[in-house]
Amino acid sequence: MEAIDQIFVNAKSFIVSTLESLGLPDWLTLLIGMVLPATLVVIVFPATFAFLTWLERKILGRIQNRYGPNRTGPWGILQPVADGLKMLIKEDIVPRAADKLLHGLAPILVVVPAVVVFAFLPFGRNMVPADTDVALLFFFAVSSISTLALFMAGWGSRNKYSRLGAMRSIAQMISYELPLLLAAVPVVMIVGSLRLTEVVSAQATEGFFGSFTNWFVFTPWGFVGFLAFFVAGMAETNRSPFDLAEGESEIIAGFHTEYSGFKFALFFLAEYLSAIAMSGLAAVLFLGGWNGPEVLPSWLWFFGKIMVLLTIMIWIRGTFPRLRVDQLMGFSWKFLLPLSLVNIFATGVWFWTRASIPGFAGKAAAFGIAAVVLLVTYVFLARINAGPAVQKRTYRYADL
Amino acid sequence: MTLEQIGFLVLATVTLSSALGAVLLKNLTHALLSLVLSFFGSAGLFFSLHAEFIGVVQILVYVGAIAVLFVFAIVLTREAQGDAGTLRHLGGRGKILGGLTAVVVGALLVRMILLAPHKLLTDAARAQEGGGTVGEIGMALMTSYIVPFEVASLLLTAALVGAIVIALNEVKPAASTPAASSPPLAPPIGRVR
Repeated sequence: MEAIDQIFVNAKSFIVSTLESLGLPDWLTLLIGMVLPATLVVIVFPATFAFLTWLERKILGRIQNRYGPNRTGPWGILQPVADGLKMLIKEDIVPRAADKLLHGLAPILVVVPAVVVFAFLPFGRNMVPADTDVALLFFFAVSSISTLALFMAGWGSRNKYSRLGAMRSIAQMISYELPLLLAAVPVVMIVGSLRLTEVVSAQATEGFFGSFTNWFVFTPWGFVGFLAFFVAGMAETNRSPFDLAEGESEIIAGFHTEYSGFKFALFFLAEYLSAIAMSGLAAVLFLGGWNGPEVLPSWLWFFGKIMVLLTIMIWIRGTFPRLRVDQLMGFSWKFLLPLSLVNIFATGVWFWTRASIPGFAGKAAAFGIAAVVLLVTYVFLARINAGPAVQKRTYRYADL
Repeated sequence: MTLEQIGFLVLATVTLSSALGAVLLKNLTHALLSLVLSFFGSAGLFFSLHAEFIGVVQILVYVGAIAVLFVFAIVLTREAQGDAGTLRHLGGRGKILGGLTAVVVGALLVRMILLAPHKLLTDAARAQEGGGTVGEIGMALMTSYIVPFEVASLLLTAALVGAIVIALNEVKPAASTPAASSPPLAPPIGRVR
């Protein structure tokens, strides 16, 4: 198990040491050591994206009582290849009135942050491309750049639907960035570090069954934080039911109305990559990262958790209708934001109760108090946010 | 010339030229994006000074929040459609005032740079070696600089409340002036006897 667990780490150190023995200069081996994990990220995650488009269409098909793609290869598994080929050979159309520079730059700029954020995720034991002490903040900072890229796409297209879509997506992204950041704060408070590898190791324990008892999702604040983070993350990555920015029934395709061919595919890629990265960050912060019972290597645990979260995202997409714009804003500012603020308070209470009362009694009291605080807040917020009660619909003729 | 110096020169060129572009470009959207590039350049300068935390906060606050605020202003303003030529340029008096402001701010910045102790750089490098600067910045904010920190947060909260109050100010039409109230309703559609 140890060998499989560390297979990538050992492979990298083997390659680097071989190159060193060949007599390459130091800076070149250093550069190759940095480029290797980046190459792996650039290969693995677009491949996951291709698989994910197939999985999404398959699951959505099942939810809607149809088969989904089933013509290309067994179970339609080669569908992404056909899609990619189609995207590549399509004509690239640029509107005459478009701002050529911004229109061309936007699809590139939207992909770059979506790929860069993977540098900060710990994929497994000793497997993190860039282990900085501000990794969490780096993640949020880099992913906030994509807002500007969407603005460039919507603005540069010179199309009213593009512009409306860009405006919606900017409004949505800044509204949901706040609960997203605040939902991650309790983890930082408890761990005492912004370093994601430390967040993961804080959730680790020994033993087979003990290896997942320490995940933050099993504490009251962790549970609330995870839900808030996951929902806000879905909104941040423009996933349905938060996909008003490209609501096809209202504004054609939003900010990417005027894009065709491979530029369109890049927007698609960026959306899925950021959904994968957001699931990865949720797994790191609340689901123990790569920790798990030692029947599987650590990197497989991490990938499994990402895939489970993505499947839940697809499930939600197949289940809920799209939100209206006022519901979207109200949900962020009137529900998620106060809830995450109270969650920070509850985390403080949890921490100090555990620290001041020793033994099991302290743990139980901390758990109970935090749970009660959060439950009361949830009920209160749900009450004041509830709209007018839906009256029973009466049908004059259908009920006869 | 060492690698660090080359990096500094590249970053400084990018920062300065994009800052100039932000001032000189005729197209408002292009000017904004040029400003964003200069924010990135200064973040890069912070990184090269081993101040990772400040660099990240620079991106998070300036690119993630302030630039997006500018974007909002552009999108919501009817006049500035971002086309070339919609920007009104300053007259002679405005140019003189603007130039004076720039000179004063520049002089203050130079003075501050000259006042800064030279060991700051080596201190930052050492802190980065010893596990990062985040912890030390947090300690300083929570102990020596707690009063300015709290005052700043109070000020921001007041600004937030003020913004909400301004936005809430919906003047309801007075009941005594029925003429100014709602326009005549369109006749109901689809009611056929």
